[in-house]
Amino acid sequence: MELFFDIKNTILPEVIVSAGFLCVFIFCILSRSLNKKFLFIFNIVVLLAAFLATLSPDFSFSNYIFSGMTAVCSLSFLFKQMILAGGIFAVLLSERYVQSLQKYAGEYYALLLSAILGGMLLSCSDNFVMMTVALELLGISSYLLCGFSKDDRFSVEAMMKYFVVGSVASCVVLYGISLLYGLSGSFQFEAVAQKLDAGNYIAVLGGVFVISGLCFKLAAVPFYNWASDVYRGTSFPVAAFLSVVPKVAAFGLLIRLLSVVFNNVWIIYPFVAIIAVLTMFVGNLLAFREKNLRNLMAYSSIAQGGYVLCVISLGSALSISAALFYLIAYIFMNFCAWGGIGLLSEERDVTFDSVRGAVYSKPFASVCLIISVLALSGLPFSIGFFSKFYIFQSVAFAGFVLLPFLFIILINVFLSFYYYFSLVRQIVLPGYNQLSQKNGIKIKIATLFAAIFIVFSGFFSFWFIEYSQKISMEYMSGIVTSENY
Amino acid sequence: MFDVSLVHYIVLSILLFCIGLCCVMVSRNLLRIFMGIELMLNAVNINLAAFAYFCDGMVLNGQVFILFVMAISVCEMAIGLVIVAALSRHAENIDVNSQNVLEDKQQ
Repeated sequence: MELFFDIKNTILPEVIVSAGFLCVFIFCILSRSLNKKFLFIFNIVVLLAAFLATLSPDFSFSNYIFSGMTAVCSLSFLFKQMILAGGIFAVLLSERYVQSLQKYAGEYYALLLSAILGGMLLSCSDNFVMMTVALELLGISSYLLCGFSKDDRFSVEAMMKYFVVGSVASCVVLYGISLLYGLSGSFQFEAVAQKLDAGNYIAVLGGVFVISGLCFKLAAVPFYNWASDVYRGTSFPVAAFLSVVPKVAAFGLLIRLLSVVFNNVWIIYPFVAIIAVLTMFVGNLLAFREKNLRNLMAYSSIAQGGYVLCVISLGSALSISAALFYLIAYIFMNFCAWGGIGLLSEERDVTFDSVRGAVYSKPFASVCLIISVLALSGLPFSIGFFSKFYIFQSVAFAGFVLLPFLFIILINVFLSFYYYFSLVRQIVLPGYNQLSQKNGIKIKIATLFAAIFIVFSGFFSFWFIEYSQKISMEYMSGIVTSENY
Repeated sequence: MFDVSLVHYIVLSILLFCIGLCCVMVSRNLLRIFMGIELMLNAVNINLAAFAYFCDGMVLNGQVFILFVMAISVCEMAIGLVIVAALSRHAENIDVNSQNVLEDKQQ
């Protein structure tokens, strides 16, 4: 085991985030009356520094660190960038909420940083021990964030629901890991993969357990029920955070699990495809009758996760690149939508009736919300359209057999038009509403940035496609070489 | 007497996992739900210990993972007790069926 390795090109972002996390905690212990503005700026600086550290890594030498606990490759760095971008958005959206807190402002930021750290480690873990620890770091931090305003009955109830479902899901993951360990005698992904094959039903059972437990983080079918209650019960920045960062991190892990561990267990791929189809239908059909904006966002994010699961279940380099592009777009679309909702009202129950005519009384927030919702539905010339189109393309190129699959995705996209457009209609229709909230400038900046990105990056989508293709090609070729030795 | 083999341990752990899952799904008291979760984690530990003894040449691998699982379960239970304490300040009991303010307000 080597102790000295090249930190700069391997785990510098994690080191920065964990140092920042410890610093915030020490600040909290040293003084109880911390300046909230200082904490905010400190958090933004830490996350920006970590983001800059991910930008130009050099993989030419040693990428084997901590006895192979974490994978160092361009794919894991892309996921780190996505999670850090999500974290920066979450801190910007949280600023107003933290101002309203009487105490424990520092703890809020520290938990946010530790959840981001857990997500970064989860998306690049290459060992089941690492994966478990990262899963729990992310999980426990997000349980606490979810119930952070503990004087609020709704928030505590949301935390309870999230916790019970989450710990059952993590038990299921652990049971699956123990079965895979029994088969292979190792926790390393590559070593486990060599002992698995599709004929072995314990391998299949272990895989099914691990993947269905991970579905909790993805809000996919066996464990999707928590999403609507949790997004509505907790405060809106935490809901925005929970709808993006754990999801992206779990997708990063799922890509690695499917392509490395379950490479030989072909039956896992159709299993993921079935989960994906069920998830899309559940998300879109439940959103149909929903009148509450937060619940609508919960079901829409379930359905959006379903689209990504669809392409991940194909398992080719092209489909992984489609998933990457869609996740990049999803981060911006979802944060823009949550920012818009937060700017309209931070109330828990924002219904369709209460946002009627919002475009006349609160034009900025309404326009941002409309842009993001249209992008989520996949209307042309936003990044949402190009990323959805690329998903269709990768499914269509995967083979003639998968045409029904493509058809199912298309049906779901058309279903989703209904509720996205009825929300836009409610906002645009003239009417009277009582939305009168002072808005934080930071939320406005974050939402405006995301909206501009959504509108204009559509013109540069070829660049995103090339970039994600390059990364997925590199990743898949890396797997082939690791099989050879 | 018969020899205790790997199969016995696996059957024990499957039974324990199922009992834990039933306990989580059936019981209404939050503390009993947490006990069910603990049972499921212990089933994982039995599995790991048995596999480490019977299948792994280097026994340490699985046993170290057991330590991780135990540490994680302690953290989770700490959070669980926080939730019980926070809930009992708002509600008169910790019966999960009565924790439904989120559904009530929806109508």
